[in-house]
Amino acid sequence: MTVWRWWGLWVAIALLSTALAACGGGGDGGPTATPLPGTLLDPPKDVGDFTLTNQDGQPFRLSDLRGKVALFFFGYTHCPDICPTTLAEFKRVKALLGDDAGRVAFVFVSVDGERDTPERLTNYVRAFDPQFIGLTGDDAALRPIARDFGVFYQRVSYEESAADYLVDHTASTFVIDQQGRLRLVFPYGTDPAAIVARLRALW
Amino acid sequence: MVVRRVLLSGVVALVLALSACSGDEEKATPTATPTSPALSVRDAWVRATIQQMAGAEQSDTAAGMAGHDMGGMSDQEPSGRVTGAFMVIENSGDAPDRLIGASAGPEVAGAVEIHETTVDENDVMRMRPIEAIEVPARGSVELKPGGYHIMLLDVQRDLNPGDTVTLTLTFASGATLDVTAEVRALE
Repeated sequence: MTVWRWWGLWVAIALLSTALAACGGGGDGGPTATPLPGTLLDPPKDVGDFTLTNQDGQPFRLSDLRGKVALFFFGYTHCPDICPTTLAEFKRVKALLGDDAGRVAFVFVSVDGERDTPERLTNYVRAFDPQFIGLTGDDAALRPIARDFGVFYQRVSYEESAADYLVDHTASTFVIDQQGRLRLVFPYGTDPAAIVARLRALW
Repeated sequence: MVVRRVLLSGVVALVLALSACSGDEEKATPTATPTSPALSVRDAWVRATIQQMAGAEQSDTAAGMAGHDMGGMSDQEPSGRVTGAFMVIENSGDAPDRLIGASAGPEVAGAVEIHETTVDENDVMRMRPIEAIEVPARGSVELKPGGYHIMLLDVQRDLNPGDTVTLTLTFASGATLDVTAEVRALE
């Protein structure tokens, strides 16, 4: 089993950006507004263009989203807990965006390409919103994407479970800006209203 | 509190007595289930399985999906449907107990397990089977997304909002508890 430790890189970036943000904000000494949750990457981080397969079985490139802000979540459809919770939150984000919803794409990337076929993804993303995008691909396709986003994923099998395997994975929501760069990262469970507030600052 | 407990015991005894009397009329419900007056469950729910919306919106199905059975998976293989059950387990007794098992009947799920989800400081989510969930004396434990859940694997049919699922919980004390969980939408 291979363990991807790219999240270590991500943590370093996050800490660095937090430190930089702290330096920059200390000047005026006035009362500061409650900081919104999530980490702003400034400057944004370049991520390589990639091609995965969408829920219709068609190739889908990151660059297809150019001009839109995109929310990315990495998960798998056999996940009963964090993944549907986050997609339900995406749905709330979309509702809160109102007329601006068209500016934002919502993308679920499977970290379980073996079981998450396009057909299965169709059912999954449509259960939340027919416009949500589901992407899947094999491990070789996913690996560089995970590295660029700072996503960790790892298959785990347990003797005592009837599940063939479970997948540990990063549960953060990643925001790609209109130029295809990684701009914001929200921890699992971030209030959809806070996500919307930060998204609105991107346009 | 003592009065309440006595009262509760009285009620339980009465219920037991009544159910013993009317045992033959009670559909085919097994009456042998030992119950514990100390344990109870509230707010039990099960997340709808993911196939539920597909059938409802079949009319605007993408062309690429034509011919695919949107209603469910084939019978030969594991259905691939999984879901979680969530609830609050309360223990009014003086002794702690532990939830050590759950079952839902083969017509509902191929396997039922107790799982815990944790999210670490790097925001990495891990879900793993666990042996038991502690239910503290005079306290409660909540099974909720991002924490404990009862995992239903190889679910045999679509679980749609409004359906109910009956789960039998087994505790270390020997007590069992039948729980009716309401199926809730994904959002």
